[in-house]
Amino acid sequence: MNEPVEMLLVEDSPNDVELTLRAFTRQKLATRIQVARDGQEALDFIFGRDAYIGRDLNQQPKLILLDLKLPKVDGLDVLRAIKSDPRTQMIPVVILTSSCIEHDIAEGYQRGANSYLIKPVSYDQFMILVNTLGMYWLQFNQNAVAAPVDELHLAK
Amino acid sequence: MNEPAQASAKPPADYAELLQRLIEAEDTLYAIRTGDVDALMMGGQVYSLEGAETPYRLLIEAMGEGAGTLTLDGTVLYANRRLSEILAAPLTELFGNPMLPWLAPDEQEVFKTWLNEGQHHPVSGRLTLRKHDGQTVPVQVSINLLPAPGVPTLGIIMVDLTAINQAEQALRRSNRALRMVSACDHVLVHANTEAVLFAETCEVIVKEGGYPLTWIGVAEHNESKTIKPIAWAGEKIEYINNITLSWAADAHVQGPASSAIQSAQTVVINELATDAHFDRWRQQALTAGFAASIGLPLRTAGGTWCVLCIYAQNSGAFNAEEVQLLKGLANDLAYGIEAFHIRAEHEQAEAKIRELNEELEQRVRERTIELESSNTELEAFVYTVAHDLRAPLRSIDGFSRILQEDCGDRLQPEEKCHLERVRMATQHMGHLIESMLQLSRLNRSELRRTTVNISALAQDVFADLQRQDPERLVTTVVAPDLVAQADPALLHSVLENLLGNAWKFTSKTADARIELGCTKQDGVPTFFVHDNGAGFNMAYRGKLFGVFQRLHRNDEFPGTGVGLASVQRIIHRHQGRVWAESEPGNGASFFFTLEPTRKHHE
Repeated sequence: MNEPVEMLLVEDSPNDVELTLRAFTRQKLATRIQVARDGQEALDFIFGRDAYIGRDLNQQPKLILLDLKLPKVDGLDVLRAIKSDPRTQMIPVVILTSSCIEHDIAEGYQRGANSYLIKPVSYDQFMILVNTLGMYWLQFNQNAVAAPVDELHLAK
Repeated sequence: MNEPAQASAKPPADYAELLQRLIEAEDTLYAIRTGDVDALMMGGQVYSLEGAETPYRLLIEAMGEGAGTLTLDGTVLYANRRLSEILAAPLTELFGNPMLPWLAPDEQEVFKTWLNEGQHHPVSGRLTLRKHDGQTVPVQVSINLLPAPGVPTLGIIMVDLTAINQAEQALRRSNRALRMVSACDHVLVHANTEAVLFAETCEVIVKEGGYPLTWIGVAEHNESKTIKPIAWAGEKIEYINNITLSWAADAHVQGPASSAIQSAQTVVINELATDAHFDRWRQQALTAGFAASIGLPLRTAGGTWCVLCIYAQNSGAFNAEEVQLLKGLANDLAYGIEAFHIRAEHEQAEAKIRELNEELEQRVRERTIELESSNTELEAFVYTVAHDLRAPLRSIDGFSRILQEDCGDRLQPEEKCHLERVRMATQHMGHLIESMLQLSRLNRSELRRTTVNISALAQDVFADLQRQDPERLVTTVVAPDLVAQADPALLHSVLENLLGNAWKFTSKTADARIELGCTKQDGVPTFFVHDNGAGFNMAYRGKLFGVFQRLHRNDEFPGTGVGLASVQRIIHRHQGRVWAESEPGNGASFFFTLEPTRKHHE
């Protein structure tokens, strides 16, 4: 059995995926990062469906880093699916996007995003941002322990 | 004659004397009637006509009224000269003959009644006499019993009313004329359409003028040149329904209506029973009871295209006086038509102007909508482009940074320098994109006006500039208590740009000085930012507020060329103006207002 995934990165741009992974690994904030390249894949991973059938749903990432403009299922829909399911709603979701449209920001928070960050153009600033958010959410932040999935099923 | 006092003192003596005189008078009358005596012997005394009775006789004879005595059955015993004049009959024909035949046949019965009543109490009233030559004379008749003993006798007084009646008639006519004119004036003032004016004028002429039919016709410009009645009044309306009228110039159709239209003159036919001009319509006119007709042209500036026609039941009804009156009335009516035409033209012009205005407004609205939608599209486009440009830029910057990190050791100094340039260019482009996004946000955010303390805002901006550039030594002067109604966030951006520019362009100036103040131009508060920096060439001022337009090279003064474009957008959104004055090397002055200016001057 693999080590549990520390973070789920939902990002469709390969360049951004590589830059983000490098920033996290370089700063030794996370090594086990699961990448989902579209919204559908993100939901499949989180809810153990399709390619991820059989995944232990009690082992959820400590953080989901979510882009908004995604193929197949849009970032905001992914967010709603996560935040409306009792099994996943306590997982911190940080939106990391290039959209600074006020409407997206407001909608993100309305659907339960824990933070909203805009990708800076400058890589140096991006490094600072990754460092700060990694430190905060992966090291300092105390996550709630979700109820075991089986119990939830029994309760229903 | 005795004095009254004596008369009342001895009534019996007076009475006897009067009685005696009456008897003598009767004898005298008899003698006069017989005509063969001019002196009488009565009671042993000779009475000649020049005798004692002469004053009474003279008095009666000199009276302006007809006077006489009648027997109870109406035989004339005596008549004075005036009565014979009224009846145009010699006295000999009157004396001893009945009065009755001198009365108009249909009044003879009344006269008989009065003769009876007159025996009991005085009777008076109007009657009509029939003169010897057949003419009639209106008279006021008074009959009363003469208080004499013996054979009862009736006294009769007749006053010729011909003159009085004529005066009355004239008065009535003038009254009627006045009523008609006044009613027409009333119509003229109150009618609000031509149709109402025509219809009511016809009503007035019929009602006040007492005519059986009046109509107004309009000359139609069709092939048969018909005159079409457009308004009428009177009982005999069927007359105009049964006739056809034309204003064509054929001789045989020249009635008053067509003649009036053609000649623009009043045409009077006072005897339509015989007048050849009326041949064509005589039968219908006589059937309707008309005897006279008049056609009055209604002359307006555009010519005579309307005619007022009136019919009368009496021939000769349209005498000079009446024609004069009706002409005046027709002129008033024509004036009214003229006024309506002018008003109609005026209204038409106004309607045209309104229509044009509406069209113009509609066009402006459409253009505005088009412009707004194209602006919105453009902004959305700008936003998307700017946004999407950031993603590749992030990659360029990120991977060139990685290259620097990973391969820095292995690169030659020149290669390192190239890589550094890539990153510098990326960063500059990043700033440009950021500015574009800000500019596009400016237009989308709502304008919220509130009272803004511009002085305090400027102090904050200066403090920020000083913080970013602690080494700079700039004298800043801010006029105190400058306030305006504006959007605080947007105005902050304006000051950031203008004061920031002044800060930037004084960076190479010794004793840099920046001043913010306010003056009034055309009554509108005009804010200004003066600096003593690099300034700019006024020849290029047209480029000053353009997006990405710069008047300085980047190595002289760095910038994106978006700042002043943003300033202009913000000021325009406040309906204000922004402009600048400068001389290269002598600093620059930027002016802006935050409300509309009445007078535009560049």
